[in-house]
Amino acid sequence: MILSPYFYLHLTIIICSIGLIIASLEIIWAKEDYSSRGILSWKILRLRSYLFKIPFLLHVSDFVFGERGFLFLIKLRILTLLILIYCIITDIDFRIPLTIIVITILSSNFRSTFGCDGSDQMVTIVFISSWVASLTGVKSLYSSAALFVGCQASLSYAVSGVTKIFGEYWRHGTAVREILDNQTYGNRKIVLLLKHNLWVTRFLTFGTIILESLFPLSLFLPNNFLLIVLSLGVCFHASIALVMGLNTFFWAFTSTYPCLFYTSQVLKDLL
Amino acid sequence: MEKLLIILFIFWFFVTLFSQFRWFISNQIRSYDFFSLVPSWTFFAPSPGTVDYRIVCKITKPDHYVQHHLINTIVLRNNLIYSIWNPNKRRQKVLVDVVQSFVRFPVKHSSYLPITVPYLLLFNFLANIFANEPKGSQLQFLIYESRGVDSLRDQEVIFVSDCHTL
Repeated sequence: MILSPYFYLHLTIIICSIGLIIASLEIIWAKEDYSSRGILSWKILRLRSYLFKIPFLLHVSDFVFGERGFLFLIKLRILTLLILIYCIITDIDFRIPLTIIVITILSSNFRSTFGCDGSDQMVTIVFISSWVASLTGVKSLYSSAALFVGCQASLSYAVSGVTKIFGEYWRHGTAVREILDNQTYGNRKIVLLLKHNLWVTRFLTFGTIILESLFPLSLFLPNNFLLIVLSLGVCFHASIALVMGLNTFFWAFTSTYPCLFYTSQVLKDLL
Repeated sequence: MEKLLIILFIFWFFVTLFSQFRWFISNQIRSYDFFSLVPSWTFFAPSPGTVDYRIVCKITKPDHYVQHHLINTIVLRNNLIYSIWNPNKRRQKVLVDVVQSFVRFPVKHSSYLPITVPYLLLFNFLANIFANEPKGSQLQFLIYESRGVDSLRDQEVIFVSDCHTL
């Protein structure tokens, strides 16, 4: 059964929007970091390019990416995301809010890549591809965008899994314990458990490699099994959020699951 | 128009695919990717981050009185709320990115490190913490890494800056 690509892409946009609202609120909460005294000061970041020595560009960029301008962009993004969710639910044309969101995402990416993580990258993929699809509103383009998001999500898991095979900690089966045995991403209770249970550590480490590396193959599984794999994925990201505090990864990656499901249906139909 | 946009998706996917490998071309693509459109999907791989980075600042006042300050950059997550709301993670990630750029910086060009953006970002951040120090005070910082979620072990200094007059 293949529902319309509109359904899957819209569901992806809604879930991704929730994550982006949280990420944007976090930026506002930590606004000091974006001031001239903060670790992401535009006064310093602009030094990376000679272009910002041109008075006009310097003036415009200071206005847009300075503390006030940037926080305004983030607040605008939150407001527009809420409008976007409302428009999708009530079936109103959402091209204008989506365009504004894409502009704020690109501006934010342009301002700095320091501090950005995989969730920011996935959010960029989801919103820009949805925006491209919405330009014409044609079904085939929506289908392509949903397939593109699905393929990018599959690729992200596969690349992440395969590159782990080349890491010493991963091959030795101790990577999960090593990653969690620090204060930045660590968790005291889990590390204590893993230190006394080498087999649990190995199970989690090799389980992560196998789940990620073989993830694209799950697209060819019957729907019931595919849903089990996607549920495992939801649990995987929820546990990462819980243990490591990487909360926005949960929303960004699980948002792609409707598109992954759609991609699987299309692939199985082709075969 | 429609076909063109579909080709764009295919092109974007293959650029992403080829950029995952450490080839010359992938470095070239990333150097022109001003809007971060080409993702890197190698999370915690092949070598995952397993250490914390900490910063210690040495302030030498004009009367040569010396003070050391540990800069608190790590927020301990001892509450479930951090799985939903974690505004500190970005600052911590900035620090990781900055330190890793120091580590990757070619040794033969190390004299240029203090004029790079990552160095200046960190220096600006630290200098503003000590903005109220007397004029002419000097700031020097060191970064060390440590392991352990409970007790800090395997501590090792990985970077010591020059002295900078505030």
